[in-house]
Amino acid sequence: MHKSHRGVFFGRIIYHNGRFNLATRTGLLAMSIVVLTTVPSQAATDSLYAEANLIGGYSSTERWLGKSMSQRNSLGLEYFRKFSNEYGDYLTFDLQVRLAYDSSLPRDDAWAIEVHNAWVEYKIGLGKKIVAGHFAPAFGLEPLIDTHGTLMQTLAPMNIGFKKDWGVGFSGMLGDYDYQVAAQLGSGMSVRRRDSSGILTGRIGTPAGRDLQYGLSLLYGETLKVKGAGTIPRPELARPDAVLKKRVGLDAQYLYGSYLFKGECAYGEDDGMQVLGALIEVDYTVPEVQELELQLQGSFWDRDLSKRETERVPLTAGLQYKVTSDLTVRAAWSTDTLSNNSMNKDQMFLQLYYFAPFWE
Amino acid sequence: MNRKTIASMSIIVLIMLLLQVEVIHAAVGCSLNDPDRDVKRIFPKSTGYRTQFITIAERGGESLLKQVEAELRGKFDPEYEPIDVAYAYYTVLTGKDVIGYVHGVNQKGMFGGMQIILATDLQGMIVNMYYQKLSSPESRRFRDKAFTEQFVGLSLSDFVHHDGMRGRTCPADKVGAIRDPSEKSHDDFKATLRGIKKNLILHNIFNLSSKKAESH
Repeated sequence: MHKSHRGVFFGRIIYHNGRFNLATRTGLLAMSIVVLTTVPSQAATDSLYAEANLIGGYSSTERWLGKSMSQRNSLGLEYFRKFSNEYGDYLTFDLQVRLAYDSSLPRDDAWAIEVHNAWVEYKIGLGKKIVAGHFAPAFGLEPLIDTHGTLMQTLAPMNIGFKKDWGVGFSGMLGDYDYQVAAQLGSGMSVRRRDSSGILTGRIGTPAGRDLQYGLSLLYGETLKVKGAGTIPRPELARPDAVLKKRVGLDAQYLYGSYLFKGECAYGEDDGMQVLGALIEVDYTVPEVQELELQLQGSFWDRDLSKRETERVPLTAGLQYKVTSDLTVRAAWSTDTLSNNSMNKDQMFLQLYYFAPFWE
Repeated sequence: MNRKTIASMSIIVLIMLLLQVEVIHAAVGCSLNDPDRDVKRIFPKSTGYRTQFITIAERGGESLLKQVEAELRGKFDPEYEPIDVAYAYYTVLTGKDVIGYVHGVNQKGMFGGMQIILATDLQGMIVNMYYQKLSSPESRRFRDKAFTEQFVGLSLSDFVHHDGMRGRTCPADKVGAIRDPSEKSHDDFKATLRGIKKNLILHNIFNLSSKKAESH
């Protein structure tokens, strides 16, 4: 069978010429929600949240900005549900959806639906879980840290190219360590396959909840690079073929007093070219005003070690202040002065982030 | 915005609105990061657990908050302890039988937040206590089992008795016998005691009292 006619689940109706059609994507999402909310259950615990993300910035090269690397002006919802029976929990469902506006695009193309979390997790025993849907690849800090609404991000967007991907995964315990493995499409937020794209990831690390946590990750597979972000409508491909990626990574977090140190690094190949990247971040909670957190992050990404062609070397200083339990103000200033890339030398962002029960 | 985007978003929003009927309106306060591992470690015979999220707002609102504050002998911090924050309760099971509970609270400390987790038996007696998160330069001293195991065997009545002593010495005051493990973080020690007591009060109101009422 020709690559472009390979069927997934139901053949050409939902997957044709390397594309899942719009009706299929919307239908699958809607069907998933309906099915999950009507599954018979002795007890179910639900939560529904509303989210508003207002962001603006200024760049020394592009002037006024309406988005950061991972945040756009948006309105969103999150629905979380746990299903249980007389033997305990067996199913968890989470859906995070945003309607986002990208002011850098023409008005007709500026709106997009972003699906962030969209997963179902089925428990097959204590410590053994299968997950399916849109979730973080099992690599680095990204599966451990909630960066959904934050200006500070992990290395994942530069390293893998996206924060979450569609596929299936498994997590379990191995002695004193936890591990996760995942097989995903390699397409990020949009649902598509092209040029045998798909990734396998795995991470083993210490359990959460300790002052010092660390992990080792591996990745192998082909990813697609897209222009912009969004699930519906699907953004255009930045290049027609997939990039073969091989990675090994290390990550660690250490909580000491008011300081939280985070770090990760990744080394490997992109289509045979050696790549290397690293990130380190220090967060400081001001003891006297614990609603205020100061952050400093440095990172780099070298996409071809033989040419010393460093893509980005941003140094970012930021702060976040919790005005109320629902509203957070964030600000960040970043500079790329060590980078070979002439774009975005200096940037400043201000963000108002609201996340709260849908109504009370 | 094109029609496809509007149509897709409309479907999703419509479904979300329909779901409103049975939704708990709350942000989750302190849930376990690794519940499977923690439950298995504390209750080796467990085969599963049931998760439940409960808020003061839904169980009694302002009047319940005042009752909890009166029992705690202190006000709730609106930042760490808003009335609509959902407390996560893990009912631990062996087969279909309930063998215990695991529950956590957020507590403001000297250097940042702390998350105090308690495992209790069916009568509300502590069988395990640990910090899931502790922002303290003396974290190692607080996390030491020599300190945390002193809470094993205590229940809410011991904390009530301790408060009633008001600093006076009493051989039956088990809470008063626990010594601060830190050198310079006495306020974190006091915050720990407050967090444990708050945890026990909420567990008693949300779970144990309702179970007693059901059995009668």
